[in-house]
Amino acid sequence: MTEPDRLALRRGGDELARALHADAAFAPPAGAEEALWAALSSTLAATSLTTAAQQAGPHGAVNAGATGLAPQAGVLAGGAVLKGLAVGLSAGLLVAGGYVATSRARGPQATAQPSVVAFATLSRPGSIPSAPAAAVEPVAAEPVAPEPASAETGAAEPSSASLRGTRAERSAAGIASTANTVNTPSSANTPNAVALANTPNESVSVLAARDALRSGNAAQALQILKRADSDYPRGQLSEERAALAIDALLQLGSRQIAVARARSFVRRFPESPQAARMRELAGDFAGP
Amino acid sequence: MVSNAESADLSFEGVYREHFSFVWRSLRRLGVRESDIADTVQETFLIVHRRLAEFEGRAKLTTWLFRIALRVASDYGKRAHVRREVFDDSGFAELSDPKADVEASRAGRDDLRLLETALAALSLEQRAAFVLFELEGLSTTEISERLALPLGTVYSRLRKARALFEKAVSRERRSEAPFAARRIYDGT
Repeated sequence: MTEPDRLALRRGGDELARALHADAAFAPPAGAEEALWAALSSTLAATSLTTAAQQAGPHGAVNAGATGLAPQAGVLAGGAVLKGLAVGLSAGLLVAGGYVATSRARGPQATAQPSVVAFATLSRPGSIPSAPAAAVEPVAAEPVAPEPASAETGAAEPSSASLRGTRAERSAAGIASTANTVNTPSSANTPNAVALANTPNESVSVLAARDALRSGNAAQALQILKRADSDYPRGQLSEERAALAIDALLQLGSRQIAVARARSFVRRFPESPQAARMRELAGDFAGP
Repeated sequence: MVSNAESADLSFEGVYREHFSFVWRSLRRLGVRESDIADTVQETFLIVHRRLAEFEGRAKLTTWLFRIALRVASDYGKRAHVRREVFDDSGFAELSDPKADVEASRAGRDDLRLLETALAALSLEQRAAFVLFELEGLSTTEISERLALPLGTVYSRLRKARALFEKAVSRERRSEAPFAARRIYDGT
């Protein structure tokens, strides 16, 4: 049996290729990994602590109630945290749209709190009875779930606020990486990239795309490049943009599409300094 | 293509960090909607957490993860609300960032919707084979390993999937009318 041809590489299959290229939008938005890790950690900690919490003295009653809810609520909360985050970080991107509506519809305020409670317990796996009061108090003092409104106006604040009360404890638990969930380099760079991309200048748009790509936001880079392609169809930097788009697709895991683009790159720009690299990528693929 | 560098770090966090993006993408490609992706990714990793000790390294980690994701996507597809509504456009309509490039994002949105619509024409089995071949770039042999299927079955699923996909794309392109806010599918 011979290997079938690939639709994305088929000659004259522009419509199919166009549809397949949209696969890039299936990549997670910047910040999603950290946000979900935080939610996941809290869910897991809550699940494993349910039994211990039930035996935990005066404050234990509060705790047991919270952790008993958490396995289910934590999953919802993860979604809410992530959705708020996605809105803040990638507003203007395709991926953001879906999250705006869903975080409103579900009401993050109601769902996010159990996640915070669960976080408070995370620092003491298996030893909750030793200090249940300390674990619960920050939550009671600071019921700070992300509001949809602020999630749209400010980028990082809602999620970091919702975690503030428990930061020290999480550091102690050795998952300090989640403390700065939202203030990652990519989120810091993203507004820059957006601002740059909105400046009507071809080379600036390439810089913005490169900036976004470097900070791990390949989906955004692709958006910027796509827009520049339509703004400057015969621009001086088409070659640079084509190469950047291929790198972005690789970063997104859309290898098949990247290979298809690499092939067309080699045809369009055989003299490019990047042609050798692209030829290698195109040849790397056992296509027709 | 599958990464040759399978991570040696088999701690839960190691697996999560290395394969988060893969799991997310796979679930989206297997039909999980944007609004449900966070929940299903979590669901997948909760299963991974529970069963990681059972992973013996006989298969590639990505193969094992993909199979779990496939099961999660299958359960997801059976839920009533998912069968009823395939697309809900309200999320995009609310995109209100003044800096957003409305035209570009509309074009991207249409392409994404075209892809999702065309993929929705496939059964989950066909879709898995199609996604691995057309998007992930695996060979048919690799797909037969990943899905634990005879090569012949991979070929026939791919053939049917590609025909359905092409048909759906041209149907959508012909209609080309603005997408209705919500499209109802019968789930077949």
